[in-house]
Amino acid sequence: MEIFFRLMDYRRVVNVILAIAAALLIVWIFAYEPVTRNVLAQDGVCTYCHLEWEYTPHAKRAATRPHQQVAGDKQSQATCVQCHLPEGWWNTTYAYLHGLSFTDLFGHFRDYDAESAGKWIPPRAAMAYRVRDRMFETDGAVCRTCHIEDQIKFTRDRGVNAHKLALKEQKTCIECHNNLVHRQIDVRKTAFQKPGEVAK
Amino acid sequence: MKKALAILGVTALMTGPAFAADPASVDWSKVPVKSIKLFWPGQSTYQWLRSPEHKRADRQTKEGQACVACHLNEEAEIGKKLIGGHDLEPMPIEGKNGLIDLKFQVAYDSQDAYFRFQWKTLNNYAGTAHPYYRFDGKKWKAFGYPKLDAVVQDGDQPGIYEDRMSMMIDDGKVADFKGQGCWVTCHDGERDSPDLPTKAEVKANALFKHLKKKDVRKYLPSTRTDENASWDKGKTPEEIAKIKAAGGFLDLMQWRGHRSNPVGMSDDFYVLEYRNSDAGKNPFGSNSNKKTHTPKYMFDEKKVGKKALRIEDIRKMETTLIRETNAVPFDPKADWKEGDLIPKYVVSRKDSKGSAADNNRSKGVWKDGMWTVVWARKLGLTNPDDKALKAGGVYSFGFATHDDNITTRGHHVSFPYTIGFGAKADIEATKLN
Repeated sequence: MEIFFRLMDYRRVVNVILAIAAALLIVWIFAYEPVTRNVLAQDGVCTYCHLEWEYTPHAKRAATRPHQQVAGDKQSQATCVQCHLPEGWWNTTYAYLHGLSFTDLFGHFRDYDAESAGKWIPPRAAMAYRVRDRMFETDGAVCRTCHIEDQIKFTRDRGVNAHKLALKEQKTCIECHNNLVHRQIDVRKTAFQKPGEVAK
Repeated sequence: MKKALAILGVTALMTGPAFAADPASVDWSKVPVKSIKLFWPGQSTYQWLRSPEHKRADRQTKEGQACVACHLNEEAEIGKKLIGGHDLEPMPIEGKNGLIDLKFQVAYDSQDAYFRFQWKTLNNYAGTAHPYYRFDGKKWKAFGYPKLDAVVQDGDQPGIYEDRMSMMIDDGKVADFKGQGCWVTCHDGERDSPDLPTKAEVKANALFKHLKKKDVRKYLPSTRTDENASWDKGKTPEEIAKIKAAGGFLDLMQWRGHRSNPVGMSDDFYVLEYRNSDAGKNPFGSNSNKKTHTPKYMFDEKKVGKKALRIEDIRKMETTLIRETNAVPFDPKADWKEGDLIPKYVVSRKDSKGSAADNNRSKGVWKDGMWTVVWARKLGLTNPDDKALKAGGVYSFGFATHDDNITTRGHHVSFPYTIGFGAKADIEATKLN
């Protein structure tokens, strides 16, 4: 009988533990991304590896220009993850892998075409190419979290015309809006090609 | 005799045009008017347009995207922005307007194409004056320069230059002209543009040595070897000749207030590796005797009432020296006085010939602050330096006017338009019966 009660206690404890674990899992599922984006992945974490003067507009001799977080508030500054970390569980996990340098373990994809043509690509440029490619592949998902296409208020005709054309030609944000924030890196010739397209 | 001539003249005026294809004889009231906005482009060269400074559009421009893809209806805004000083306008001119509204009409018949241009000038006088030689008591020295020149900006010389109306035409054989118009011809290194080379540098360049030129003028990127279409990276004359034979050039024609209008003409050039004159002779030439450093011709005192002009004559009377009408060979022993002025150019309808003289029916009249220029051009020209306009054809046109004593890039320009002669286009020419 005593054994029965002991077993019951044990099961209760296990159940409680399981319940707590389940609760934590649920909390984690919901909190994983927002906590990562808003609490953990601070700019300081990024600039722990990435040179601060290249990535924060407030650093001494900054190569980065401010990108407003709130329209009209020139003092507000978008954080790194707002522009570079698309939403989603996998992207959040990618941030951890990147933060732990796992993404650097096997080297980044190299531009073999350029290298075989004898062109050395500076790491800074190669990084810009990679980031732009990602923005192109995700159809500017990070841009669109703030900039809602049909809510954009154009101040000039050229914006209306250019966006009309971009929509018609199915172009995405980064194809025109590049070199906005960080150090100037020219867009490479072979950038932004859709499958089957040949660089002009 | 004089009376007989006068009667003949009046009769001719009353009975209609002197010849059937006189552009003035077209009933322009029946031809639709297209409003074309001409704006100040500053130094927006081919190279600038393809640089990151052309924000969010450099790559698109390189890919051949049309200017109006972004800048549709923005002529006034661009002109206003650039005219008063800008990264693209290091030499702003006080009082200048950023936009000119050109009223354009086009028609054709079985023989000719007819154009009519109307635009308001900034000044309350016709731009018919052009630089002169001025006698300083000892020598004849250049007097009057275009307003972008430092001597005018510094106040050392007056701004004097003729008004002009220009057309550039392509039949689809010049890459990107249809979308980017005249901008494919405007490059760093050209006069009044960035990165101006010295005369010595130009003369030392293989292509320019071959051309015997000492400055850089309009050219097409196809005539250069590098991707940036640099002025000094010219292809060989043989390669350029092949491009020309394949029709890869632009027609460039200019009506000129001083150097062609008084003889009822416009000039005829083409743009390839340089801004070349068509074969033959244009209606104007230099009035400089390089050996004696004096003018070649002076005014015929019997016809003009004076052998030279004075400053007070400028813009008060017609000051063009026309070889067959009012000019006689220069007399160095005449009683020249300090301040005497003789035009730097001598104009002649009679001496013009060949393909360069194709535009021999154009005439402009300035009235109440507005130029009205009518112009006829033969259809189906077969010269190797012309773009033959034909019924049923569609052509890309770029327009420009030089207004207010200025030259080179100091013009107001249009985005390109297509014109159809019996074909669908941005502007469709009216068929005349």
